[in-house]
Amino acid sequence: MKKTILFFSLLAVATMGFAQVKQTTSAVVAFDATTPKDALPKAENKTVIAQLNTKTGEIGFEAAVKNFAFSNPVIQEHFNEERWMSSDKFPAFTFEGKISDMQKYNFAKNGVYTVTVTGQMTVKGKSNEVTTPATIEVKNGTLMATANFSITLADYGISVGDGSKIAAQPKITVSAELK
Amino acid sequence: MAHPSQNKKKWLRWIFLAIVAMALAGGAIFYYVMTAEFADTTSEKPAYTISAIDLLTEFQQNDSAANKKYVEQILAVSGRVSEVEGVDTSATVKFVDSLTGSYLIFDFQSATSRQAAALQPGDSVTLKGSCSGSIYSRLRNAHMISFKRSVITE
Repeated sequence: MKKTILFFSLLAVATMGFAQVKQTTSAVVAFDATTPKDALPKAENKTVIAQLNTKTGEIGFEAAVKNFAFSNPVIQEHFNEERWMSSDKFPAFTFEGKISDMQKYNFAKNGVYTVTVTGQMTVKGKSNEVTTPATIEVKNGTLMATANFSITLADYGISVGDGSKIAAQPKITVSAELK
Repeated sequence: MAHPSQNKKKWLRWIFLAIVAMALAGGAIFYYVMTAEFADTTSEKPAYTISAIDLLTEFQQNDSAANKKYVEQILAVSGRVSEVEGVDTSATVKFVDSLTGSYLIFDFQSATSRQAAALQPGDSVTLKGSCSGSIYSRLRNAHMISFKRSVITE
């Protein structure tokens, strides 16, 4: 009886050690729309929800638009305004996607994996497909995921004028420690 | 008595000086606004002082009213830490409603990050930060209420 309990306890611990869904509520997403003329439009959000299913490769992100922290109060206010992110009406950015060729990767093993993620990015209520390379470093059950890509603001109904002060294709950097 | 053309020149000089002064003032205001930074939250007076449990309850009962009341306000929130997470040099601290999974999450001013990372679940703290309001997370089936530029006050 004791052996059975011990077996199931060890099994439970092993399962918890590598759960199928890895997640965090503290992923970091940085947004950089700076140009040579304006170094201000950049911000970071350190409270992004991220989730990865290590079996299916399904991946999801959710970020509160208002929690992007800018250094400059005026730029932060503009960012949340109706003509930009309209954050009162559309309070979240989301990404729902999948790692391509998931059968190639075994995230139960330590290592560095370069993957391709494709999914729907929703900003200001508009969704567009985004494909980006990403790196996933697995260390003892923890997955450190990073990705860098650009989005075209016009695809989300956001106009930046001639693009001299705000980049038309801002850089997005994602960093998530999934446990 | 001054000649009319001399009077006109005088007026033109004054108008020119007024335009230059206004342009300089406008430039100075623009420069000030565009180079301004958020004040250190440490020196900010909280608009509301509230417990983590009460704040979570308020958002879960009526999130649109709570958002209207608290967004972009400085709040001092006290409670027992549920979780501390971090990536690289940043740290976040959470107060979680264990019944619903909804939570308050604070990210910190860079000078406070190390201090925040040292907090442990169960610690009693008061955190002060700028409330960004709530979103409902479909991934977690819970409300997330986030704060930025936070500091630890107690």
